[in-house]
Amino acid sequence: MINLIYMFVFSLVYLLLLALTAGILTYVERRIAGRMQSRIGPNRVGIQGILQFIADLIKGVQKEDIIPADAYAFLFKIAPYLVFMGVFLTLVPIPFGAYTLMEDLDVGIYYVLAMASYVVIGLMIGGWASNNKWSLLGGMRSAAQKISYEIPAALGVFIVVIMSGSMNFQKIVAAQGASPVDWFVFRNPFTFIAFNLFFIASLAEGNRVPFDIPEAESELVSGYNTEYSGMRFLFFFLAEWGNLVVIGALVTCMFFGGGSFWYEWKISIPAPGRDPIVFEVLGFLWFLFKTFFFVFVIIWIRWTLPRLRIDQLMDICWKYMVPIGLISSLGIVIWMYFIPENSTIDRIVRLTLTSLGAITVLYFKYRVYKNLKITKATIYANPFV
Amino acid sequence: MTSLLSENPNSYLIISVLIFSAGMFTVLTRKNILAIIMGIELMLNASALNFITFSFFRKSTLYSGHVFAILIIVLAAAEAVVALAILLAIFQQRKSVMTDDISDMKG
Amino acid sequence: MKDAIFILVAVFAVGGALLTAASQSIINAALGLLLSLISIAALYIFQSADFVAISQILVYVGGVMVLLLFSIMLSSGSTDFFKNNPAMKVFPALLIVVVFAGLAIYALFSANLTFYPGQYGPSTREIGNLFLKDYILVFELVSVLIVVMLVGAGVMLRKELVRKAVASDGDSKDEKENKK
Repeated sequence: MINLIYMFVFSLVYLLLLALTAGILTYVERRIAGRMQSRIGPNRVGIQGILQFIADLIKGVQKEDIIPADAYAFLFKIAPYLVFMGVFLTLVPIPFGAYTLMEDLDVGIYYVLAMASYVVIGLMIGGWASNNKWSLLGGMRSAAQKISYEIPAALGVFIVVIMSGSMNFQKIVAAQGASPVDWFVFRNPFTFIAFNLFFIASLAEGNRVPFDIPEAESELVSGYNTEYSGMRFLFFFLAEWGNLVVIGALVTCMFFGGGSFWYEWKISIPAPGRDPIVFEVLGFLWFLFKTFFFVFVIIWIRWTLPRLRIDQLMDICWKYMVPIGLISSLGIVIWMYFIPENSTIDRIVRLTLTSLGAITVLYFKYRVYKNLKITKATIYANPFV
Repeated sequence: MTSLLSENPNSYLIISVLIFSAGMFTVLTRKNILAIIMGIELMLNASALNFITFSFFRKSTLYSGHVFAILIIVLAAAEAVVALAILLAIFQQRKSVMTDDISDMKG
Repeated sequence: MKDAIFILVAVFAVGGALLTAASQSIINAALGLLLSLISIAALYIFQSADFVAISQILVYVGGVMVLLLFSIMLSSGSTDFFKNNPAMKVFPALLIVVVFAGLAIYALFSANLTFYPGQYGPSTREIGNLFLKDYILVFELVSVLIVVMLVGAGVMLRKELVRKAVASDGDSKDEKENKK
């Protein structure tokens, strides 16, 4: 009984934190979008507009909750909650620190995939129950897109599972290390492909640009959420931004070493001679840093790339990503059979890939710097200008 | 055997029987192909639940029951895909999904 | 406590199945099926079958149910959808079903099976081992079946094929009418 109350309180805290993070992310996204489009973005409510999301929340709650006359009322009402619940449930097995996690599921990654596919039902029901042509089209497009992109995402996950020998997140993180050489992204060419597959497929599953066809404003009014208003509308958006955190956390766990912070990630045994709490907090912060870095990358992609057409979208999935995923999942098996871990070739490959990654990042920074110099633009170090 | 319902195999088996009966009733009384597919899914699920129950309460360390349950899930998915493809093809031709509209082969 | 959750889940599982069997609207039937499938996944978790439970959610909820909803939405309005089968009225069907359920439950209690208390444990690795050792032939056959299924579904819904079938069907109807 005590256990149950503890579980309940803990999940309530998680829920509130997720909602808060999603709310703040709406503000952050608008600020970043403003900077990228040479405008300011919301800066009126609170210091630099940081409380904008609370203002939006109050506005959303105040609005009338309209249910269209011909809508299927019960389904119309529960659909946003189903979607939000699906996104929230994906957080359950993700380890934010060695101990900061809800439940250490043995089938962690598999569970996350299942929950991602569960969200589809909520979207379809929402689209159908609105009894609106555009909502239905948006819901169906969304479902088709999510189901299609689940396959490359699953193939990317498959490669990670083969590499680490487990579906448990703790063991996946433990199979990597603190330094970039040990991360799965730079482990070998196939895991690098897996990272790209998973990241792109996650963008598509989260309905983010360049894959936001279900919400294409210029074609469908707003997709499956056209008929929604007030709080239910906000729930769809909370789910969308909550999903950003989930994608970032998943990528961090599976490919970027999780919260390993200068020490080996221990499962249930604290390393001797170290204060577990300090390292737990440091690992947690390191994990959050990586997660929000990927959230930033996703937002950055959204405001720089144009949208794909629906046929291009399906082509990318079925003609390119699925074959590449199948070939690399065969390749990883052959690779692991012939090149054992920590052999000379393995080390050379890891170092080469890591340095290639570092060179790419450095070259990118150099290009940005050079462009700024040519255009003689002022560089602001302060993000709140 | 404990007094807990959730640790008594009979409760799972009775649930399984009830679900199977509901599925059978659906298959027998409906004439819509979609409803018949739903009934078949229910029946398959009930039998998978039986496999898991016997696996857990007869010999927990032997996982053959789980293997059979997974096979049932995979086969049910394959069956559903083919059935729904046939259904959509029929619907495009005849604008109907009722079984007695597709009785051309009947002598 | 465990029992309270179990009873709730059991009620959902059986109730969803009954909703599918009794509902007059197709979308309610589909939702009943969805509820029943999720509850059955929960029942698997009660019996330490976590991998099977997640597979159930992934395949049924994420795959089969979405396909079913797609078909429901694509294949017309849903009001007069649920006509009963003229060959089998409700009462005889109910009789058959009740007799079957009675027999099954009688068999269950008269069989004198010996059950042991189950042990909880991780199952994923064992299932993988079984699939790649004892059940390797079944595993390969299933993959062949899935390829057949993919090709079959693809061929069946090819546009030219359907159009040709529609055209020939129309022709044959015309011919029949001409003969008359």
